[in-house]
Amino acid sequence: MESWVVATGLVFLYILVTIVLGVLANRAMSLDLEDFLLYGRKAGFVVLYLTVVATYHSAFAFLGSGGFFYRHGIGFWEAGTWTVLMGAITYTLGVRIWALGKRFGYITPADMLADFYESEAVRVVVALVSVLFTILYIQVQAQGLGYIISVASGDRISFEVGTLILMIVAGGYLMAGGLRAVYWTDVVQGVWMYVAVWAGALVLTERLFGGPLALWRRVAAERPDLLSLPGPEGFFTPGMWIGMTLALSFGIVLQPHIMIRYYTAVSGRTIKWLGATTPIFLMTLYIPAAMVGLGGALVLPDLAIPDQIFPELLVRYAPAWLTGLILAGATAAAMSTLDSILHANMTVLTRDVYQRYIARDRSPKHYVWVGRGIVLGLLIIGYVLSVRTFGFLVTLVTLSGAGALQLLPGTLGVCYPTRRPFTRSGVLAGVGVGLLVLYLTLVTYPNAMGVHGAVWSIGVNFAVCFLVSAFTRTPSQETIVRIHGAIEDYVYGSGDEGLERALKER
Amino acid sequence: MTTLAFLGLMALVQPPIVFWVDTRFGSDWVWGMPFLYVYLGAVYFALIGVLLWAVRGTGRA
Repeated sequence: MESWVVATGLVFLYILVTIVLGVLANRAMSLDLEDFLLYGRKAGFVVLYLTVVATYHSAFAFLGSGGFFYRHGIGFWEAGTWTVLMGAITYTLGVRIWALGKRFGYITPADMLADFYESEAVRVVVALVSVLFTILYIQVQAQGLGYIISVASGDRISFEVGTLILMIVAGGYLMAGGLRAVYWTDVVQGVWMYVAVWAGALVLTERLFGGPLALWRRVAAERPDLLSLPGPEGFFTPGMWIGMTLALSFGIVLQPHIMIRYYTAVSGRTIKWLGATTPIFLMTLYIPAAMVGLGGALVLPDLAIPDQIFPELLVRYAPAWLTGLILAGATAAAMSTLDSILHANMTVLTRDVYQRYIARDRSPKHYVWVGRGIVLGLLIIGYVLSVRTFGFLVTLVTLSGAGALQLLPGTLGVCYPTRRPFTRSGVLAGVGVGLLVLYLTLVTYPNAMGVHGAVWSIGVNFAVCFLVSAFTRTPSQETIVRIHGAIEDYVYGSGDEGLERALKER
Repeated sequence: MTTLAFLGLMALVQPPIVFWVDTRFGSDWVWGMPFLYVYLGAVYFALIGVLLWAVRGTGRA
């Protein structure tokens, strides 16, 4: 049997497994909106752990990181900073978001911000920013899926067709089984992708160089420019380093597909353990990615699309069965993020826009079907973007994170009690000016003075938010006491037990 | 204490310190690997250690 048939066949076998899981999840699902959207707020540690890491790591980590090591060298190992920071943010901010979600029944990020700032405008802006910037993320996954299939099949299945098939599968099992299907498939995908990256990198390194240490020696001898900062093209300046750290930690946490996961946890303790332990998985995945990218730069120095380095190396230098299994892992990485983002955007648009402004008081079944329609629409947009425009996977994800980062002042204002809280005018002005500055520093004057647009935009956003908030009306005292009181009670007072007690009393 | 430890360690992997480390020790090797690679990895594991220390040490956020 030809090797491309084996490799592509294994990828499709994996797809079959995810479809079966989606069908099983559909059978276990009730047509209850909270079950469809939030897994009934019952996700335990193991399921939540695997879904968070599988969602956080996408085609960006599996393919994009290899491409970035390949082109910009060891500087991409800074990835560890944002993965560890992501854990710390989950530990501190995530547990507060969870407590408020549990206490007040929030389903989307916009629910929380609109409630505190007493503003429908805040709700709409948060929903739009959330959806707009995560569409880029959909594009990244779609692009990654297309690369995998086209390289695995030796271009017998085109990029466009491969993307289409895999997007239909991810959208299909999401529409069938809701968040339960996403979580169940994420468990398989999380394990598979981790094993696949390590196995692929170690096999390739052994075959091509005789082991990781020999690889490092070869890189030092042949491409020493890849082993120092700021890298061969001068990419990793201090300003870019800080910008990527912010955009890919806070910026990703503030995206709806991660924030909604906080709401689904069964307890605050679960969230804290999640924060402390997810960086182990997230950070260590970049160790083999460095081997792939740096090794690839020696073996295939003239690759037109650096993001394809991992599949290209596998197809050329690994046995077909192993290539298939590993590319199935790459597919898992992309699909597990794609389904989560589709689900999050569906939740935001159904809950914050459709249910609130278009059709109130319909049956849960009605909203579930509308959600399915929204997924279909998002799939079409993501597909069109992926086949019409191309960009570095890492660059696209960083842009996506930089956009969501603009929600940081508003979110901190809700979750951290202060003497004078931010106001809705402050938050809205901050987001507006922040997005304008982001555009200017990414498009008009790209990364001005060597500083990433994320740093410029969030700096200006905070300044405007502080300034406007100083002169405008704060949320009502009743709301401040209700929400900040709940935070203080949870964090400094009664903890999980007190929250349960308060819920029973309500 | 854990907050200070985390912030202190995080500063070690942020500019300007990380760039100074690269300039000063960039040509050195540790256990057959580039110094910067080992240095960053060691600090990342230490940061995770702080998070685990925090979660084991307290029941509150």
